[in-house]
Amino acid sequence: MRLLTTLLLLFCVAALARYYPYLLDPPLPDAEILALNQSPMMTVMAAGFLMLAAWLVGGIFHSLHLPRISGYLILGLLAGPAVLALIPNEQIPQLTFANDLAIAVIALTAGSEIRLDFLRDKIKKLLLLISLDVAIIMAIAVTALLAASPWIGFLKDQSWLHAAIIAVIIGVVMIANSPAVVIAMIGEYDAKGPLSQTALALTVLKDLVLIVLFAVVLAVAKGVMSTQGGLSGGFILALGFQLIGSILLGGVLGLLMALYVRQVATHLTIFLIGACMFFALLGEVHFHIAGHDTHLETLLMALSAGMLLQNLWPRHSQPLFDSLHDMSLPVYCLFFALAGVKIHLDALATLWYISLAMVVLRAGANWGSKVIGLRMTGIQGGWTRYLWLTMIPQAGVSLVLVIIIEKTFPQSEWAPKVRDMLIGMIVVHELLGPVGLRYALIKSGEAGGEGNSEESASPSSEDSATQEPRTK
Amino acid sequence: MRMLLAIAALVALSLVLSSKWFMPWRRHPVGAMLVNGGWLVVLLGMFVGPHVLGLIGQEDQNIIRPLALFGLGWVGLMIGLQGHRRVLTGLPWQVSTLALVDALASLLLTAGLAMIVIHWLAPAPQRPLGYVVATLLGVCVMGWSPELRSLGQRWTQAKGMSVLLRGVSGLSGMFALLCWGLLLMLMQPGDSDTISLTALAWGLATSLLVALTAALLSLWLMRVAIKEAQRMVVLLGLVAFVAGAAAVLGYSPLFVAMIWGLVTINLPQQQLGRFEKAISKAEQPVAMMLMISAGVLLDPWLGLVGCVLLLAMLVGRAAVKLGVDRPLLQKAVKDAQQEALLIGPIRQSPVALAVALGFVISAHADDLGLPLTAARTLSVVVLAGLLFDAAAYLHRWRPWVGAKPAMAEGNGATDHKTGGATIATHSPSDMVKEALS
Repeated sequence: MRLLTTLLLLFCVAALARYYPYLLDPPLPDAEILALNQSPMMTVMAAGFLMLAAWLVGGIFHSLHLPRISGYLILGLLAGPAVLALIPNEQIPQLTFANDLAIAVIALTAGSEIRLDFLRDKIKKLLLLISLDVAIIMAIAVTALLAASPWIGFLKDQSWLHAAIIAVIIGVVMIANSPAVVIAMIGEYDAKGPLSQTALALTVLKDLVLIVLFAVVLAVAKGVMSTQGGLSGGFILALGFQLIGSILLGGVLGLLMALYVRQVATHLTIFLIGACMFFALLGEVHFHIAGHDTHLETLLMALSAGMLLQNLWPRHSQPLFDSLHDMSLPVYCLFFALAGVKIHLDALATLWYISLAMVVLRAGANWGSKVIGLRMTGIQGGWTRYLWLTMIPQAGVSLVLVIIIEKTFPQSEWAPKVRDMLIGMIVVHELLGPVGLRYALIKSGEAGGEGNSEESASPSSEDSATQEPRTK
Repeated sequence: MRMLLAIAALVALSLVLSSKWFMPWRRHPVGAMLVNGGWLVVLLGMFVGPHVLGLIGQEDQNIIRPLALFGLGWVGLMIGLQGHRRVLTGLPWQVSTLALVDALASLLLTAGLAMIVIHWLAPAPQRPLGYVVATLLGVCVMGWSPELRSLGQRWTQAKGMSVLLRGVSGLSGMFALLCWGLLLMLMQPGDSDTISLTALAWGLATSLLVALTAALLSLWLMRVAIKEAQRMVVLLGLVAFVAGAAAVLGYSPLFVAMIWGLVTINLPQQQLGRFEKAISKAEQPVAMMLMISAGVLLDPWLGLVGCVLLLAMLVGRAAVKLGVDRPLLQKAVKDAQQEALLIGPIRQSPVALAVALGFVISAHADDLGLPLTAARTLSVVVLAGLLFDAAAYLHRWRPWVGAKPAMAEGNGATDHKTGGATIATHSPSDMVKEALS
């Protein structure tokens, strides 16, 4: 009850601050309201509100045996422009920087979880699993879309080649996973074991493959569907710069971080915030390589820095990772609530039947590819039957791909429809994915934190307050 | 890319400068003044800011402003948390009287002088908001001490004249935020030449509502936030929410956060200790963030109006502290040392920088234009603070007479020759009565 009152109070104050310009007599002019909605003041209020309210709703979800992340997302959805509009539409671009910062934190955490000895042992098997994933999901998506093209509005008027290319583009987006959700859920449930390790390595490696695949598919599509661009030497150079440059620069920054941790070793939290800000800003810088616009990947840079620190100087880096761990809860609350804010319910409403069909197809393809892949690689164990569930969540990366598709084909009629359909599919994966992942972690017996570390952390847990004097 | 390099350079330099490598340098009086006072960080921020090297341009300031706003919320909360009813009611009348006299004299003398300057030099359309700037300078002259929490930690350990210095400093910080907060409520953005009592009443009611809600939320959330990470969520979330909501509503985030702190500290609760620890642990990073923000957002090219305003502020502060406060202090503490009477009140309070920074990021700042901008007003406050700090350090150091640079190792007013930090067995009230008798 008190939790609900707390939430209600938060919502009331946020609503007062958000809608007070309309209460004034005379009301503020539209231009001033727009300026206020875009102002840094609104950014700070929105960030504080989302962080706190997401944590509280996450607690309610936890007590209902649902993942906290789903709570964060639902809170974002409720507060966002789609429902209550407490976070105005104009504020979303302003909050994007917090998003980039969160990606850097999440990637550093992921890097710190990946051990080179595990990768060395399993790399061949992991690559085989990923290849099968890509091939099977892509094949099923393309075949289904082409077969159903006479009934799908944006495909039926296209030539066979163009329809096939659009289907391939959709297929690539269907391959995408969410390393952020996987990392956050593993952290939330303090999961340790082969399922968590494999899921983490698979999602991260798959992200690398996805970047290359998406860039190549988009370049080919551009070459076929318009007169500009296409696959060329310059394109390969730019893509190489993006991937190898990000990994190398991440390594160099990791070295500098290690140097700081060894030599200075003070104010680790500020240092981490500064470093993550640096990764995020670096990811926003655009370069022109051989006539192609490219940029470095925040995720890859932070990931390689984290891996370097973990695998070369694990002992010295431990205090840094401890600080990272303390920072991660506020970051996750803000990041996933922000992802919820961006959910387009209207997109789900437009082409919901195709989106739902794609969800079912993707789940089936994921399950099938894991069954075949695990048999081929000889990986065994009770946990393997839940591996496909860890590949269901989608979030930030997939949405970015959709935005790039729309930007790449601005004049086309099909791109906005594909965007709506894909966003509808991603929304479902965003909301249901964590539930499946939680089920997998608990059923595999790897969710060590469930009921231990996290139960006492629940803001809805009534006995958490009474536990405090005992822990003192 | 330029901004990236600037931020990287700033963070790296700030961190390296606060490391053990630079400890000997920080013990030197000049180094101590620059590093402990935070002026070095302000100067670094200024150099990379839009007005000098331009590595961080005007368009990049949207990243700096939210950080500064968050820092202001934090500072307001810290000041408010000093106001426990036992501390406030235990203060001897000399402390309250001196703080009140100091506040009134600062407003009358400094703000009065600045108003004359503005009336004389600023163009007519700028004058109404210019008078607000003049009042801001008066508010910035209130109080002293390089500490934000003079009534907070170790207050009960204060002894001798430092009780008076710290007590007045703590109260003055609250007075300054109260004056500035009320002044901002009297006006509405875009309509600075009219003062409305209805706006004041509405502002007070809304600010109190936000502050009380935040206090209630913090009381409940503190009980459930057990782990370090959860306390971070509650603290970061509430500070950002309160500061942001206050600024969106057009009020001072410092004022609203202070009221929140005052209410919270006076509510019955058990978990506040851990939060106070977390808040004070973050004091240095938040101060650094504010200093960097101040450096980036200030405009060092003061122009004629700015220079004359700086002069007015210097004259006003010197007159109030040496002409009004010093005799009162001398009267209150019979055997006070002259040096303490001089250095104690002369240094500018960090609240001044926070108030000026709050003005730069407020909605009112956009209504000002050349020659009197909010960024130049911030420069005036920063320069005044730097000059008074330099005067205090140099006076204490006095290399020409070979005096020992003791201040470099201390933290200002607390450690003057008024008595060290011995653990007190009496309440501050008894202590000050003893010292003043």
